[in-house]
Amino acid sequence: MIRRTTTAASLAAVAALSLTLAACSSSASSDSGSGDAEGEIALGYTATLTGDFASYGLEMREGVDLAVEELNDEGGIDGRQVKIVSADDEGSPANGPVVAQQFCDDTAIAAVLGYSFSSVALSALPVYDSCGLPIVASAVTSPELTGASDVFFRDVFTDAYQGAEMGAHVADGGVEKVAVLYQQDDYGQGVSEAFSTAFEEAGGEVTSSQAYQLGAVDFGTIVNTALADEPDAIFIGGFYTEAAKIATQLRTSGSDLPIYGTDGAVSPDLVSLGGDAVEGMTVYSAFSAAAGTDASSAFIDAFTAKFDKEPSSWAALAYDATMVVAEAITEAGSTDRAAVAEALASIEGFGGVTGDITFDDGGDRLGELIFLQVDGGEFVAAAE
Amino acid sequence: MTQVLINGLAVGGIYGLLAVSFSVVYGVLGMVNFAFGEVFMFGAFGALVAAAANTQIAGADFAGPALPQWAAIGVGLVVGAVVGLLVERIAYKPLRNAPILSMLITAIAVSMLLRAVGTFLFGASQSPVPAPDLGEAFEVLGARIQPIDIVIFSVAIVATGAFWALVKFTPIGRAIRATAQDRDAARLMGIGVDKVISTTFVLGSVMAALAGILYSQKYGFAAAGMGFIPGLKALVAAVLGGIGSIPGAFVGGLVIGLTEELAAAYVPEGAAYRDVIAFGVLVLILWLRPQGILGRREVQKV
Repeated sequence: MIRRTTTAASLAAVAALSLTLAACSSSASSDSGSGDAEGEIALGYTATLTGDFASYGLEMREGVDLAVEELNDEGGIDGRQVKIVSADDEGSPANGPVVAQQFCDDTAIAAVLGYSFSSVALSALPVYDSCGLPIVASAVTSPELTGASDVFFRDVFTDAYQGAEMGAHVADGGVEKVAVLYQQDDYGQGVSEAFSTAFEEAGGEVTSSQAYQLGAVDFGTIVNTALADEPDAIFIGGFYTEAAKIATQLRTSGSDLPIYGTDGAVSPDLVSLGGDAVEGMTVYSAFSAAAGTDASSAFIDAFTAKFDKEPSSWAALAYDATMVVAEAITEAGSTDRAAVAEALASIEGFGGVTGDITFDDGGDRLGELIFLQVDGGEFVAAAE
Repeated sequence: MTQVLINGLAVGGIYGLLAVSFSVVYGVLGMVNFAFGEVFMFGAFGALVAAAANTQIAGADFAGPALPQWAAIGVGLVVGAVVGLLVERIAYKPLRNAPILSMLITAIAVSMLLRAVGTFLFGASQSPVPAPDLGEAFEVLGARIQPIDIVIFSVAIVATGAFWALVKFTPIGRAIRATAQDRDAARLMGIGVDKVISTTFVLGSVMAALAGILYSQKYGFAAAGMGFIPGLKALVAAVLGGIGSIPGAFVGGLVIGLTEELAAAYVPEGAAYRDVIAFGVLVLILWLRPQGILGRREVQKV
């Protein structure tokens, strides 16, 4: 999961929204049990909706709301309107089972969306297993969730999957030797190991692999060590603050090698901190409003019209998750939880706004990443 | 190798300047002014805002004065001095005769408060600082030398030297030394001790602000939390060099800077553990020489 800073304005928005959502959740749960077969279809939505890390949950909710609105405008699923039952997990793993039990007990709920934190989802899985309620999560990337439950799916790519895709992409581009620099934590290590393995399997050579700490500012020495082996390119497995400084210090040390980064580096701040040094840098993402494909342009327009801002990748992934669930319910022909879970497992090549969606046996998503390049200070689709 | 050494000297020069601030104030007050890390930050932002054509403060847009670089640096130093003076007058002066522990706790509180003020004024994310135009890097002995590293090291040496000379050879310097030696005796000899302490804070703050400005130019950013780790390292450097001694603090800074860079270059996974290694060196040196590299053995007064 990518870190972000919240501004005072968005904090205020969070506070305001959380009040509304809290109201929603209490009124919605009081309706529980009233779901007759031909009434509304309820979908559970849970994420961290208050506190420092609320922004992911609120952005996902926007994607879910847009999807529900579009579904209902077109007559709902099989003629039944869709409604969302929302619950705040407050980012606490202790709340995971509580919320899950609440959803399990509400028989109107056919599937669950959301989740900001892997730890919360992990703690909730045993409860979902017991009642067979399927989940399609859209922001949790921990490898521990892979294959953790038969009813758990996610349409966000795992860090390892993305790193491996990047490794293959770089090797395809004709690069033979790469020096790896990575942030010393689960994110940086996971993504870089997957990158290195995939790159070496594709015939490339990783000349060196060096860790640095989140918050480090001086990369002069590790850049020199990386360059000493004369690699063809540099891969940075880390967030934008450090990636920008590594790029700058690489350029001032006289190297013009191509730089590859991860989704953690996708931020406007990469460009404002890195300036000319990050020009041409290649990164990846599951979704990018700026580099919209044909499949996503209608979504981007609708989202911008509704919320007056560009959709984040979390909003796009949550939108897709909602649509995938709707597709699965249609396929299953009922809201029977087991049937919906089975239909989800057999979803193949569903055309979402973040690309085609297929789930593997572990519930992880298979599909293609979007490769982005910094061009004139903007992220644009990378030239193939 | 040359490259690693040059980089270590530049980083060490920045730590050295900041360490001098810690060291002189410890000398006159016997306390650690943790807030120098934040004076470092305000100095960097002072210079950044003064040089910018437009700027954002507390979320609102302002037209910046767009001063030339040298004048902007001057503004940064003045901002640092003012912050240092205010801290001394408001937070520490009322505690002049309080136990050291009270002052220490106050210093930590002031440091946190100033960081919060910095976050409020300049936001929580890093602000880019344009690189100064100092010309191209050049090659010496197979090493690529950045002009900024030379500038940082030279400025650090000259500033520390000037500060040392000021303390050693001028009347105010003599007053500072007298106050450091025995505050009560200095007062009896007619020295305005409060004025001397304030002066020391201002001078120390100028050094800290200078370090902050150099740091922000070298690494291309300024941020509210930027002074915390360098402050910690500089404090280590000051203790390492023998706290209270100006040349000692500077040498301590160089030792920490060089250790870090050498560790990053030659210890496996050293870049990730550079802080651990730097602090490990502190423990080792203090075990061998408890008074620090250039320090004198302090006799505890009972």
